[in-house]
Amino acid sequence: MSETESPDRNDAVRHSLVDENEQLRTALETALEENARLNDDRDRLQRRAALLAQELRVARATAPQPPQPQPQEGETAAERRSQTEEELRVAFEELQVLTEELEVANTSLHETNLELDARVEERTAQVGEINAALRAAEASLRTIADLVPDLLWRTDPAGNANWFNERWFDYTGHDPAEPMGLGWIDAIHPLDRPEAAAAWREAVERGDAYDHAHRLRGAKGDYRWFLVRAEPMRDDRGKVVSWFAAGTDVHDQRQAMEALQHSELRFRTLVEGMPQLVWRAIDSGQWTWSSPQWTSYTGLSDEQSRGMGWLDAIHPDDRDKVRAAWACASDMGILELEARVLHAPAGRHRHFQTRALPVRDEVGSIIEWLGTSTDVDDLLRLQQHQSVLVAELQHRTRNLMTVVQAITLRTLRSSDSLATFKECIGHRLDALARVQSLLSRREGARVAFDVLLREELSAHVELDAEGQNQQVTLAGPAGVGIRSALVQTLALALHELSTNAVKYGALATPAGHLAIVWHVAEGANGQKRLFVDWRESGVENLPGRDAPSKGGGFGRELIERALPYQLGARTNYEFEPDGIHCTIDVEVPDDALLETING
Amino acid sequence: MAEQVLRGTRILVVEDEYLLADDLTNALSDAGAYVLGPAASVEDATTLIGNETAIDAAILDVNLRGDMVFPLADALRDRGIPFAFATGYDDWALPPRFADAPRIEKPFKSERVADILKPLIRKEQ
Repeated sequence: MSETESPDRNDAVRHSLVDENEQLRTALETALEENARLNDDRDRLQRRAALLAQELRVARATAPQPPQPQPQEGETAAERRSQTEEELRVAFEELQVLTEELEVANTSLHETNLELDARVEERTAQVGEINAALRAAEASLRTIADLVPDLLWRTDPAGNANWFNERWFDYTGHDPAEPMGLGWIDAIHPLDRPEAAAAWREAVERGDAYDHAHRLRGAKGDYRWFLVRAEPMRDDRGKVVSWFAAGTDVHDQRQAMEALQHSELRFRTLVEGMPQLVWRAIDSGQWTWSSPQWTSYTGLSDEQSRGMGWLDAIHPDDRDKVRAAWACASDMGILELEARVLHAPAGRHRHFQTRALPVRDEVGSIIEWLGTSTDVDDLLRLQQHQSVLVAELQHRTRNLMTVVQAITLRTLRSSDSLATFKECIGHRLDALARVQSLLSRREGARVAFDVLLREELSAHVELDAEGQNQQVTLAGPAGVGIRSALVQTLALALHELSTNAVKYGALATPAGHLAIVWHVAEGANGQKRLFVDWRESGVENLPGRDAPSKGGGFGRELIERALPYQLGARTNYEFEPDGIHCTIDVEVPDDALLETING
Repeated sequence: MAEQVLRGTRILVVEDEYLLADDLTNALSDAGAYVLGPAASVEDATTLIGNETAIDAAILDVNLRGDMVFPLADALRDRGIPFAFATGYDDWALPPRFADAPRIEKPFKSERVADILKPLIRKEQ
């Protein structure tokens, strides 16, 4: 780990110390050179002084006796001697000066040396401290490098790894003793490798930071997602000397994110597939999202609906109600309301049931609201319709009971014995039951006259598929619808006519014949009218016109009084010589002609 | 029949079902009343009360061939003529303004009709 670089600041300190030492060394060398030069000069001067002194001795020895100078010879020798003495004196003086200079120089050199020694000692101590600090820093860095949860490694400029922290080895299970080189790339998931390798190569080529997420193989062969960042480290001239890389384990976050994305996707798929309009909101109704159904229903885009924009789709009369519901939603912990929402394609408002529940965080604060609006317009309509039907049913049932009561009373009055009563009331109640069945089966359509007639006749006589038999002839258009208010009374009237025919009339004797003929024609005021002609023939022993009716007169009462009273029918009930002749002329609805008629 | 509790009174009957109208008429006649009508439609009844000045009370079927009798009831109320509804409907099917009107619920007993009408007439007199 000795290669571990010191931080920049330590580097700078070291550089400045090195510079200072360099200067000191230069100064010392200069001083030493100067000293050497001075020594040389001194040596040279001493040698010259010695030479001069010897010359002087020689000169003195060879010279004649000084007291008697020779006028010619003596003068020349004396002159030469004095010249040499003079030179010697000058040389001595020079030597003296030089010696003094040398002494000064020596002193200064000595001082410089002392000073240098002191400073070198000081610097040596400082460098020692710095080295100790650097070693400590390096140890700290190493500790930190092994302490951080990230995987750290360093590569040379070409990307060959030359250092990893302990985490790397722990995680990957690589042997620290094995050289790694580009082998670290093998730890990348095969599926991520091409992309990561390309990104790494690009970063190395361009000298740019590398920032890439990929899976790294763990010691057990499992893979985890890492966010790997690498930065180049450069020298003073900007040349990349190495790369530092850090891999942060983002596996859990990534999985959580993916789970969230999947959950979000499922949520969207669900809400976009459901018939309800779904939306999300915060803070008392500020929408943050609405489903596509909302947009296609209201014509308001998701954007337009955000915030309180969705209120535009609410019926103006319902907006206060909606705002009020939102105002207390947080306290209630639920939003429930009914309001009309504009159905843009149809251009009308429809009733919607809106419900939202808060989504809470772990401490129970509301993060957002999740709401649905369900079209209950049809439901409300059906409910209203149902209410009407229930009321109608009640009305009819009670009316029917009252009719039963009235019929019972009449039957009782006209019965001479309980046995007669029993038979008669039984048949009448049957007739009433049949017509109720017809009325309830019609499902909104009208009951046709021919159907009603055949139903009633069949209860008394055998009819073939065409509704005929030897004694009965039916002729008239099929499918003439009659007013529902007329059906019951007409059925009862037909029942009484049939009963009387079977008991006392045309069907009571083999010679008798019953012909029922009907047609539809336009009346005086342009309304459609149904004309029915009931004619019995071949009957003998008819009672007189004013004789009491054999059946108690209920049939006659229904025809002569009830039909005219209830429906303004024009009726006639006559005893012809050979049988009953009855006519009914009653208005029918315009839509009465359900099938073609042949007048 | 019982005593003629409605003797001398003139009672309007509005009922579209012949058999019921007939029974009501008989019951009222038995109680001594003179029956106006019976009328089977709102239209007929409206014509009738337009021509009659003396009406002591009325029995109104609520649903006359699909038409509601309420406009006629309003007209009677305007003239101060008391009335009772003969109805198969429950209370809630009646407009609130008629909540206090007496009702003869179907199926009815003939003898009860007179008993219901009598206090109305007495109260008004």
